[in-house]
Amino acid sequence: MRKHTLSHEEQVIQQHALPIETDHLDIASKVMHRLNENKRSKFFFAIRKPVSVVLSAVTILFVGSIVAYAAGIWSIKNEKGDTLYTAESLQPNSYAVTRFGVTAQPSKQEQAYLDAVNEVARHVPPGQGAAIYIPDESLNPQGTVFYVSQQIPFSAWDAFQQEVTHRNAPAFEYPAELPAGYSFKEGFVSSEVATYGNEEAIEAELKAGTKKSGEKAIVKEVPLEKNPKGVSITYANGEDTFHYSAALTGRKRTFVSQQAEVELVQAGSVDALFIRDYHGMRVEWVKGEESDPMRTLYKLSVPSNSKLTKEELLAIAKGVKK
Amino acid sequence: MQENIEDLIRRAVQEKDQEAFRWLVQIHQGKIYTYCYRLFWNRQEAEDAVQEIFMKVYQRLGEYKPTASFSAWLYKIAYHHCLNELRRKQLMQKVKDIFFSRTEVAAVSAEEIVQDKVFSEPIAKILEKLTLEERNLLVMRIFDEKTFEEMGEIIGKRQETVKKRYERLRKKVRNMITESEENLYAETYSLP
Repeated sequence: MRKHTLSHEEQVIQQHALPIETDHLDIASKVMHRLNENKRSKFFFAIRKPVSVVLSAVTILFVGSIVAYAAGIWSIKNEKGDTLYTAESLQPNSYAVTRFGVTAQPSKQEQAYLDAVNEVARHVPPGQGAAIYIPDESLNPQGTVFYVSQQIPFSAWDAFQQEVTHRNAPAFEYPAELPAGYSFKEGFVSSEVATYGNEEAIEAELKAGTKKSGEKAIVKEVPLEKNPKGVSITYANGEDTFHYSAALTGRKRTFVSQQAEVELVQAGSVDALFIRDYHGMRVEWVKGEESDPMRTLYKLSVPSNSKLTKEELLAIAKGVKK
Repeated sequence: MQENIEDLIRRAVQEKDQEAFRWLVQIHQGKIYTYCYRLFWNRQEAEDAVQEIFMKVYQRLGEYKPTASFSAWLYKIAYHHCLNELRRKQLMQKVKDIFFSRTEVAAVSAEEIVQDKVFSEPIAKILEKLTLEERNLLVMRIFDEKTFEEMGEIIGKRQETVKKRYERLRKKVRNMITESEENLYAETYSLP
């Protein structure tokens, strides 16, 4: 039964809404599965958190300048034909552009805000997470609270492996064969910030805190999740480097710039996506179905100035094993 | 016969009855999904959001007081989750330049999003120009048919404040529709 009468404009809008199919939904099973998984792992409250940014070591996929239309979708599928992972070229009328205003460069205000956050985040010690609030409305008009997690860097393979074992990181696969001259340079075992669904309370506390103190920025220590979700390693040969990461994720898509060259390739026994654009080359593949809590996204990437060739990168990917 | 919502909540909280909680999710998942879908304009994002929302509901179910409507309480959690998520993603997009070229660790891409068609043209173009908060008001009022009292309860504002905001929004949308119709008319009649 209708609760109130709609005006003409409201009816116009309502009539333009396209039907939304809900028959396929099985949220209940997925939620119950996750609740049971959490109980089994004795980490009941450690549910997946909203995205957090690893400030010390993160590349957010950079899609490049968006100047023209380009359509392209490349998918990795399983034996049944279900899509496991997709690379899609970003179009100027896509959701990311129209809704979130993706641009090649942040505005002056956004840049100033991010510089300020970055400056504060530099003081967060490794192994700790933090929520950062900058109250200056000219910098942060939306009043966003920024979550960061600083990981502990390990510069020796043995120490890194000890950390992997000590923190009970998932049994990821690692590159077994490296190109000549390359060796382990640095590794991280990464965890997300553990907000336990208390974002609202954290944000309210920070905002109240700045009101009271008048500080330009306020930082609240937030613990990191005990159970790591990923690892990341940099391998180096002098100045030349390549990066490897493995992370538990439900993520199903990656975006590429319209200029990117994308190809379906083999990484060992699984299908992978090879992507090359002016930032460099990368290979991405997943292991595990969508419903698998241990579904892992693997990535190998090299910057554009790397001496490594595509064939060498693919050879590393093929050699990734337990 | 469908069980009473309050009874399901009581069983889920007091008796730790997982089947009761499953029913609660089953009953409300469709509505919350369409609400999220109309905010995110993306099916996968909406499905992920609904899962997160019900995980939060499970954690906080003990805090729910039967004096308030369960639906409003649920929408409140959904509203805060969606807004936080959309703001975070918006910010993530802006971060890319600063952190570009640094080492990669379990990078999360806020760009793993594709726009689905949720509204037909030209309304879609108009709705795109609204802020998140404005779109939320519109979705709650027009599609979920919430009263101002319920909307106030969900977004944590007084009923009168919500009403005023909504009236301003209605005028804005009306002007946008008129402008869009005039443009269409002008385009149609300026054809050679």
